[in-house]
Formats: sequence, structure tokens, C-alpha cells
Amino acid sequence: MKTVFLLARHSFKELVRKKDFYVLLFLLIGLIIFFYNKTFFGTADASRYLKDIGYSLVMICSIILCVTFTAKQIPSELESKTIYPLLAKPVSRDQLVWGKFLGGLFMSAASFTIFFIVYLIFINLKGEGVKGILMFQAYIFSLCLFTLLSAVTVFFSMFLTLSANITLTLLLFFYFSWYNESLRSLLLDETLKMRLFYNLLFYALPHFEFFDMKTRLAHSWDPIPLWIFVSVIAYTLIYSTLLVISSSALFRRKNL
Amino acid sequence: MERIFCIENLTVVYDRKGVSGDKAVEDISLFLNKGEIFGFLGPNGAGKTTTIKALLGIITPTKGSVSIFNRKVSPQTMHVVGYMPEVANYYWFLTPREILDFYGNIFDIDKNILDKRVDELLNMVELDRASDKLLKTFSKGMLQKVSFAQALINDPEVLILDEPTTGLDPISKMNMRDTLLKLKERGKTIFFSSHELSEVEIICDRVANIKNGKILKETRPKNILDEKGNQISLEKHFFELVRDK
Amino acid sequence: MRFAAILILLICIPLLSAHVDSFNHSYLLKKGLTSEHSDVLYKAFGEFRGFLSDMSFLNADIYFHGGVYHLEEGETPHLIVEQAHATADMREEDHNGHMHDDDHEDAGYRHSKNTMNILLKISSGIDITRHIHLSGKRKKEILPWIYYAIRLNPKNVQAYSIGGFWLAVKMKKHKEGIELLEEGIENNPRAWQLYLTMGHIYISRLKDYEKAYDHLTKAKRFMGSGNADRFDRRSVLTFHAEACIHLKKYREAIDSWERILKDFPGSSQLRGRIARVRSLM
Repeated sequence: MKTVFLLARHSFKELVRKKDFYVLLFLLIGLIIFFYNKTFFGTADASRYLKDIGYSLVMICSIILCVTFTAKQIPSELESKTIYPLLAKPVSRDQLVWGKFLGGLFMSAASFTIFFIVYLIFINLKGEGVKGILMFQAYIFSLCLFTLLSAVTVFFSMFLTLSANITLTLLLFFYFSWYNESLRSLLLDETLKMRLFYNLLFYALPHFEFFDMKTRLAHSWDPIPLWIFVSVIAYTLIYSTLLVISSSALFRRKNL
Repeated sequence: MERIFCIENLTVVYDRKGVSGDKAVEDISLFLNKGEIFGFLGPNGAGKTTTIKALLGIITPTKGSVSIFNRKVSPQTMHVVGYMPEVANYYWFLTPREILDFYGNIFDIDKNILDKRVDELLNMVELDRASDKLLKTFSKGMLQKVSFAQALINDPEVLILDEPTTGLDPISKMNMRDTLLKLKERGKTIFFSSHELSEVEIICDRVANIKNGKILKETRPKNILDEKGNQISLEKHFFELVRDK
Repeated sequence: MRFAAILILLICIPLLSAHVDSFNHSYLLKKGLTSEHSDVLYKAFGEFRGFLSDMSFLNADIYFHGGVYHLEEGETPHLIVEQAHATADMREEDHNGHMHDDDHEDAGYRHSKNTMNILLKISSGIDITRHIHLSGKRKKEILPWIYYAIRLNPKNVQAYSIGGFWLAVKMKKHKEGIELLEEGIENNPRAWQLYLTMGHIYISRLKDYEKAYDHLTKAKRFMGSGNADRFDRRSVLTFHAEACIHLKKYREAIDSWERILKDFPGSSQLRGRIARVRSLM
């Protein structure tokens, strides 16, 4: 485990030393301040649009950082051949895969935390604010989202090129964010012949829509019920673990 | 004499999809005794790096076996091995000190010992003044020095070096040769591949020539020179060998 | 990372352009230029801004429902329905139809609870199944999207109409509502909906029957060439008639009612009113 965390911490350093995070942070702050200061027809304290747009911006920035950073982890090690001195140390391929996955996750979590703090400061200064429990649930669910995204991206990096990996991961994410209703409707169709197949597909695909707290946060709805909160966290842990284990198995067979 | 590593009938075939692969290395057998410096010579594409990767467990042999200290190669056996890769690429966002710290922590070396060792290694490779500069600012030669330093971070019993003097200036090459000889005196075992026949001539106890994945000949440099009655240099002997085969 | 920054800017530029355009609009207007000439950014982005304007308007409708509902195909956005009800009866709280005074479950989500698929249960559990309308202080939350709808597309008559109605009638910000509608009329001089909303506000909120009459007369003139259905015509003519009554322009009032009777011949209440006014002449 120590080796895995060492590898993860090492990936984290890369985030700190690259400009990408800072560019997105300043862009985010600039945009949130811009929208924060806007008044509409003499009304200064309409705040739901700020919560909505702000949350979307925070998530877009974090997701792009997460996917692009994690997708590069193993391919860049292979391309730059830094993987050889690493594997010539007491580091197994499994540890490498887990280390890269956790590195992507820690990096995403850290950058999201900072973005989220900026967001919370501004939305609590304007209008109706946000309930504490909702903020907490949104934060945890976002971490779950990045866990799943990192796992999916690491898995795809075992057999896809960098650009194909990023594209497919983002496409999957946006599909489930916008069109999950269509897949659900399909399953609830009682005339459906291939019900078993669609059910299996439903289980196999990653459900990014579970983590979308934008509407609850922006419109001050009730928090998620506890059993669902716990179930989603459990789903994340199980699904991500299975994906990373599969990634390790694929990586063990990979010709370096 | 204690055998440090043993390669028996090693064959490595790289899989190309749907096509029977190239034999990068075919039926190689080698061993290394404790305290030896072993030179591995061959033209480009001969199979030197493939052999080294198989030795380190980075690639899986298609046939044959590799053992280090009579144990099958695994991450655990790497505790006593130091490896210097052919291409000295390291993480551009780290400094030499940080990269040595990182690798040293993988070996679980005590912090105080590690700090002291990092300072010594940086001094040895003359990078003490550049120890806190990012690696992205380093020249090829400087990266090669970092590469050598990281190979020694765990004070290994056996050093495996893939073309260690590439990119070094003549003085640095000489310093490296002296370092290798000092390590030998301390009981370390060294296996390295090279194109620099002059340095092989100076420091190696044994030499193997490889071409097209096969060992051509394994001998001692001293024996070659004695055989030919000192009328032939190692370089000339190497050319003759490679051309004939 | 350049990709990330470009993506974010591409998403935000149309919204930001609305602010630039707002500046453009007031600056160039002072120079005597019409809004068509000043709308450089609209010309640059073209139909895409129109699309975003429509999306902003739909977002306003979604915000009206607390961020939760799906508009069925062919269904009218509920903000429009709400305004229609208010104009139909002239009293915003006195109408039937879609209004809910309390939360209720949407039946559409209930059946998804009846499944053995655990992920489907979780997915359904995460859905917000209640359905509300914004009320009280929260009414202001739709304003940003109305703002973007009109800034992104100054030809979005619907957005101007709803915006003016919302400000003046729902939020009792009469001055802001009127200003918005005046701007809308300037950009869309033949939009009968905007004159209708103006008339509604002057009659029901400001009790200024002269101005109401002026606007409603224009609404009456332009609705013939517009896309007014019989209910729209009834609204215009009803308000027009009321303004006329207050200004003692009885003939014009009767004329408006008689035109309503052509669309709704069965309205005995209207016939009674005509008879009563005739007796006053």
C-alpha cells in the first residue's frame, strides 16, 4: 500500500507544477465573479442561476482536469520510457495501475475541493445560499464521480490511444448526464423482448448521472435520502474497484 | 563463485498482431558471478536491451528462465538491483533531489539514511549545484548523471546499466569508469551494455557479443588480447566477429 | 488544457456576449442607431444565439418549476400558460388549469419504483419527484434567464412579454416591467403581444387607461397580421374594451366585444354587457 500511495502522491506533484490547474482556477474565479456581480432588471439577489452556472463551471473544469490528467498517466510513462526505471524497482504492475488511478483521483479531488470552496464562498454571499447538508452531499458525490471517472479513464488507457480515451470517457459522461432517461425508459418498457440484455447493459455502463446534484443544490431541494447516499457510495467503490482490477489484469499482459 | 544472476535459454518474441513475431532474443544463456564486471556488446538492434528487460522482469520471456540470487525475478528481487536505462528520461516536473527521494522511498529506506545518500550521490555525479532545478531544464548528459545516481540509490548488490556513458563528456566518462571500478572493489557486481569498446576493454572481466538476438561469443578481454598476441585491439576483434556472423 | 479553456469560453462567450451587447445597445442607442444596426454580435453568431435564447427561455420555465420538469412535445411552456391565464381573467390568482398551490408527485416517476433492478431503484430515488411553482421571494429566480433570452435574441417577443408580465404583475416592479416592454417594442415594433402586456399592466396595476388604450389599440391593429389565435384576440379585445369603457369610448368598446362574439358566439355574458353599455349611450 505504501508504494501505491507513493505513486499517487507523485502524480499529485505533477498537478501542482503544471499550469493547467491555475489557468482553470483563474478562469473559474473570473467567470463566477462576473456572474455574481450581475443584476437583472434591478434585482441583485437572484442566486439560483449563479448556483446553477457556477456548479456547472466547477464540474466542467474538474472533469476535464480529471479525465485529461488521468488518461495521460500510463501512456506518458510508456511514451517517455519512465516506466522502465520504475518497474525495475520493487513496484509491481498492479501497484503501478492502482498508484496511477489514485494519483488521478487525488489530483481531481484536490483541484475540485479548491474550485468548490471558491464556488461556496460566492453562492453563500448572494441570495438564499445553500443548506450545509446539501453542500456536504454534493461534495461527496463529486468525489465519487471523480473516482468513477478516474477508474474508467485508467481502464480505457489500457487499450485506447490518449485522444480516443478522453473522447470516449467524456462522451459516456455526457450521454449519462443528458440521456439517462432514455435508457431507463427502455428498461421500464414492459413489451421489451431483450430485457435481460438491457438490464446487463444497464449494470455494465457507468452511471455518472447518480452524482448530479446540480438541481438539488441550485434550487434548494431536500437532501438525498440516506439509503441512496450510502448506496451510491457503495456503487462507486465496487464499480471502480472492479474496473481497476480489470485494468491491472490487462496491464500485466501488456508488452512493454 | 557465487552466481548473482542466471539466464538460461532465454527467448523473447515480440507479438505483432496476427503475424508470427520477431525473435528479439533467441536461446541466450548467460550468468554473472559476484564481484564481476560483465560487458554486453552488440550492434544496434542486437537484443541487448531486450535481454536486460527480461532480466529485470519488465518483459516476460517467451521461453527460458531468468533468476537473480537463485530466485525467480519479481518486484521483491528488485530490492538488490540497481538499473540505469538506455534512455535517461525522468519526470520533468521533479528535481534531481526529488526523483532520488521518490525512488529511495520506494525502497523504504530510512529518511535520515536516504537524505545522506541523496547528498552523496548528487556530489558524486557533480549535480549538487543543480539538485533543486527541474529536470526539464537539464541537458542529456546531466540526465544521464541523474540516471546513474538513481541506479545507486538503494546501494544495490548488482548494477545493470544500459549504455551508461551515452551523452557524457570524456571527463564524466572517466569518472564513471572509476566509480564502477570502486564499486567492484566494494564487492558490487556490474552488468552493462555498451558501444564504447575502449571502456569495456579497460574495466570488464568478461564480455559477451550479441548479434541478431544470439550470443556470438563470450570471453575475457584479456584472453582475446593474449590470443592474438596483443596485435589486435578489442575493437578490431569485435568488428571481425560481427562481420563474420 | 487549452482544449478545456476553449471549451469553457465557447460555452460562456454567448452569455458574455449578451452583456457586451447590452452595453452596445445602450451606447449606440444614445447615438441614434436602431437596435438592428447595433446588434453586431447577434449578426456574428447568427442562429446559434437564437437557439441559446430559446434555451434560456425554456430554462426560465424550468426554474419556474424549481428546476424539475420536462416539457412534453407540443406542450406550451408553463410560464406562457400562466401569463395567458392571468390575461384571460385579468386577475392573476383567479384561474384554473395548471396552477398548483402545493407540491405534488408527478405520476410519471412513480412506476419506476416498481422494479427489481437495484440501480434503477437508486436512479429513481435520486430523481426529484415533487413539482412546484416558484412563489413569494423566489419568483425573481427566473429573471436571469429572461434577461439572457432577450439579450441573446432581441426578436424573442415571448421572452419580452413574459419578462414584462413577470416583473410588473408578479413582482410588482412596474417601472422595470414597463421599461423592458418598451425596449421589446423598440426591437419588435409590430409585436401585438407586447402591446397587450403593456395594456394589461396599465389597466390592472397602474390604472392608467389612456396609455392602456394607446397600447391596446396598437395590439388590435397588429394582431391581424400576427399569429394570434382566437383566445389571443379575445384577450386583446377584452382589455381594449375595458380601457374604452373607462375612457367612455363606448362605441369602440362595443365594437371590440362584437368582434369577440364572432369567435365566441355563445357568450351570453358578453351580449348582456353590450346591451348594458348601449343603454348608457
